[in-house]
Amino acid sequence: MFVVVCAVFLLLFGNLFKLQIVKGEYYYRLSENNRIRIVPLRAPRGRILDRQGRILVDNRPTYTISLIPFEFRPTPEIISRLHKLLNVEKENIDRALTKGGITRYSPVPIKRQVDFETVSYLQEHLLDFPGVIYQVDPVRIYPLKSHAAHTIGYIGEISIPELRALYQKGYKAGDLVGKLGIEKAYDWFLRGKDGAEYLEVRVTGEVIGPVEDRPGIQAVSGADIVSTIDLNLQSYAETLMTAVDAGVFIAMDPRNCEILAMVSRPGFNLELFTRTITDSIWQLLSDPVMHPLLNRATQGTYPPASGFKMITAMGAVDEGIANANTCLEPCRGTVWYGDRWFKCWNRRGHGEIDLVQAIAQSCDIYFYQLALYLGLDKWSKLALKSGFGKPTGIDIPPEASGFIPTRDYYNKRYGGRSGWGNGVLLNVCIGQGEVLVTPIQLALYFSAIANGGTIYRPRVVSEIRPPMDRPLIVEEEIVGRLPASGEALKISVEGMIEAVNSPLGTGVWAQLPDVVIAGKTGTAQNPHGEDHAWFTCFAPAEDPRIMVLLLVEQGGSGGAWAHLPRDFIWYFLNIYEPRAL
Amino acid sequence: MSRKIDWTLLIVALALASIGILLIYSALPTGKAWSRQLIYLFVGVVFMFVMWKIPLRIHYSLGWIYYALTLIILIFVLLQGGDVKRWISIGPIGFQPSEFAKLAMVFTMGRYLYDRKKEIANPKIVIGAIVLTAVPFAIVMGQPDLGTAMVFTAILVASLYTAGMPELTLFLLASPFLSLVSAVHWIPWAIYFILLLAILYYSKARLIVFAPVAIANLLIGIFTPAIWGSIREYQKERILVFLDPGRDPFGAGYQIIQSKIAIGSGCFWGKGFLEGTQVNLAFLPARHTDFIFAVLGEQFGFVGCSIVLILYLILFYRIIRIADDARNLYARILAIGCGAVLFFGAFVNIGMVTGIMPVTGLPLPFISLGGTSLITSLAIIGLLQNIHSRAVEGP
Repeated sequence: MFVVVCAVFLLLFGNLFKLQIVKGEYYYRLSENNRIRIVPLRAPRGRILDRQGRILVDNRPTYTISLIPFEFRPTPEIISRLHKLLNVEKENIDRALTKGGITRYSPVPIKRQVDFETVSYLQEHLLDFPGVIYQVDPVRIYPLKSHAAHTIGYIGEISIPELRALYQKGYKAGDLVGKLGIEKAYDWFLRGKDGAEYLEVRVTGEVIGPVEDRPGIQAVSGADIVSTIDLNLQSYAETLMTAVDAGVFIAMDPRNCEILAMVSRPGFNLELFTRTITDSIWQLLSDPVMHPLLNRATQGTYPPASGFKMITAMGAVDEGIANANTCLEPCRGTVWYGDRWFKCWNRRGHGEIDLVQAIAQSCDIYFYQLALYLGLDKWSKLALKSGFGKPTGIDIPPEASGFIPTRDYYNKRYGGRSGWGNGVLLNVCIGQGEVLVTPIQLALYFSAIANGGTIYRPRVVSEIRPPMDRPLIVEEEIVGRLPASGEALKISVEGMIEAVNSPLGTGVWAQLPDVVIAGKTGTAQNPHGEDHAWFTCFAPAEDPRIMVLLLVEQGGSGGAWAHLPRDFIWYFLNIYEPRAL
Repeated sequence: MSRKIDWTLLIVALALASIGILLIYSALPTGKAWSRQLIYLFVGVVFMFVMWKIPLRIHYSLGWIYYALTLIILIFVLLQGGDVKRWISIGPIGFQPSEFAKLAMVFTMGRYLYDRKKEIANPKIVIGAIVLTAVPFAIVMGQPDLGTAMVFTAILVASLYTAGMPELTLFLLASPFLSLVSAVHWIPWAIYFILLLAILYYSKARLIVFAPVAIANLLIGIFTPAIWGSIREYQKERILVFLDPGRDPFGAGYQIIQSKIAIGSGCFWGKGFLEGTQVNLAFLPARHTDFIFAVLGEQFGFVGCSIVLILYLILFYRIIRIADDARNLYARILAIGCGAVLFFGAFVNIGMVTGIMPVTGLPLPFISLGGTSLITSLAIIGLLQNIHSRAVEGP
């Protein structure tokens, strides 16, 4: 047994002999005169492609000037020369010297995207600036500028809290990380893995060469992300949405809930984030009212308005309260319930109509009656099961949950059952009052109506393509089913077809000659100003291949904006699809 | 009475601990680390005397309780959260249960194998020993602490061998793992597999042994590359970084370079006490703990390193002698198990600091700063003295 011990120790002796006797002088030189500089080799960030493989986001090489805190000598002269050369403040240099506190020997960027002239000057005067180096860093370019900005997202230097959370996963100070959208959600795949080079450097700053017997580590490029977004559809949607100051446009394939185009207005130009952001631009971006960085499609919450009549309608059908031809008390424009008048949006009244026409003409009075038959408990259960009141699980968080009021909520709010009446139900059943939804929830709901009741997880990414590896397919994922029978769905679609195609429908502006579009308008009461306008539709009604949702903040009546989704559907069916085939 | 105390063992251990304090002082002359280590040394000596005096039969009867307590504490550490779960605090005192766990595993193996010493060739007994090791192994892997997990394996192998398991059986048991390692490329694996078949053939193994061993090795040889080929690059990278943190160029990778420079720059004589530039300039963050050997290498050179290595060799020689002279198999298993803990720690740590072993975070026994490690090592010396003092006199 002692022989084994001796053999192992012979190995250790041999290795020590190699290090200290054979290579001793080399290491002695390294330890006395020179430094080891660890230079990160930036992994090129993966690109983001559209569904046909066209580039949405790419990289271009730029120069970054960095400090190595350990080697840097912060004399006033060097700092003032750096300040003059790079136009960086002294505070920035101080911050770079103390930042992270994790490694004093790896470079901390102080100025990105430096022009070639500055870099050549620095190269010539490298010895005047010990510990200052330049590196090639890939920088994002956005051929689409502001298009799909919220979906794509932007990147920025890692913040201290982010670093603390991600340090274990290998993130370092000075790293660029995604801050929004795909860039954030898929950062781990996009970023790749930085490599490093170990360079022997004289104290004067002269680079001698790579360190012997410890080779550097190659950088591994990040994976390309294939989005479900289509460049043409996105551009077309963006063009349509220039007419809207604040609002949301979502185009979805109802068969699997892939998002084909998504616009949140006001937007912002992604290119802003490739440069240092000035205070005035930052103020615009963080405007508390317009909030351009907010993805209204997933984070904005609004009363769904008449879109929610579908829940009441389908609930009534499945409970046997009504069928397609059921006529209730005729609508005379208003109705007295409890202690006050409840109005229909049409003050002249809709007269006696059946369920299909009630959906088509969006008659409030008809749905008040249905809701009273249905009751609050059944209604809120249906709404919750239809995917509202909780995040949809879209792959680009964060996401708002929206809100579905329940009996418990009212009891809590009004202090017990006696504090409130069924009047609240009349409000929520037509999607007003306390109900709040995000546009993506509503888009998902109408996609489910279009596809026969299946709720998928909405997504903007379909594939991850790592370099030199098989692609990772992001599979479609069913998260639930609408609580509705085939009959209820059929009546809903019929009502939506009538809404667009019958002369009295609320969405007649969405009519197209060659294709049957099914749609639903919505006009959400807004206590802060003009009503918000919704229009949701899909086509062709008999076998839907495209679902479009439009929200115009303070747009007034939903029907008045139906022509925008109509134009999109026309483009989709007549230009986009034939070209794609 | 002449063999009551093994003075060599005692003196070598105390010499190593003293060298440790000197090195810690030179690594952090301003801090209080060295004086703390001095206190640990005194506490450790107390533990040593306690272990010296406790009769072995008490350890024997407590064998399973040690095991149960160890599992409970290890699970507790694992569950208490945090990023690196290796510490436990009781009031102001913090300690690393994984250090004590090593000693507890020695007792567990001793008890288990001694009780079954007549049936050691029975596969069931071997499987039982493997399962006993696998449980704490899995827990410390979850911390994650690959180094300690490997020490458990070393204890298992050393104990089985001491308990009388033939070398061939041990080799056959280990063969699937060797197969796994050699499967990095098909040529080394093929050579290994042919050797294995030859050994099996010439040892006249029965078919019931021959067939499963050959098939297990064959399957591993075939499926390892297949599985490795099918998992994704980033998963591979995670496994590789786990096995060898030196692949992280900014963390352990840089440390290894600096520690190699420190050791190499010591040349033959070293730069002298308190003279190291690498160490003084704080290039090595863990220079007083896991990388303490680099301080030795820089300041005392090849000569200093050789002296420490020779001290360890003397230590292990004495341990093997103590085991050979032990009164019974239980004591022998304990002695060799203890030896395995110290030997594995020394080998892996020095290998890591000189860049031939992965960075696993095992301290250098007796020398690295760390109360739990020093106290455990000295307790082991006490146990060895205990075994020695009750040894049978001559043949």
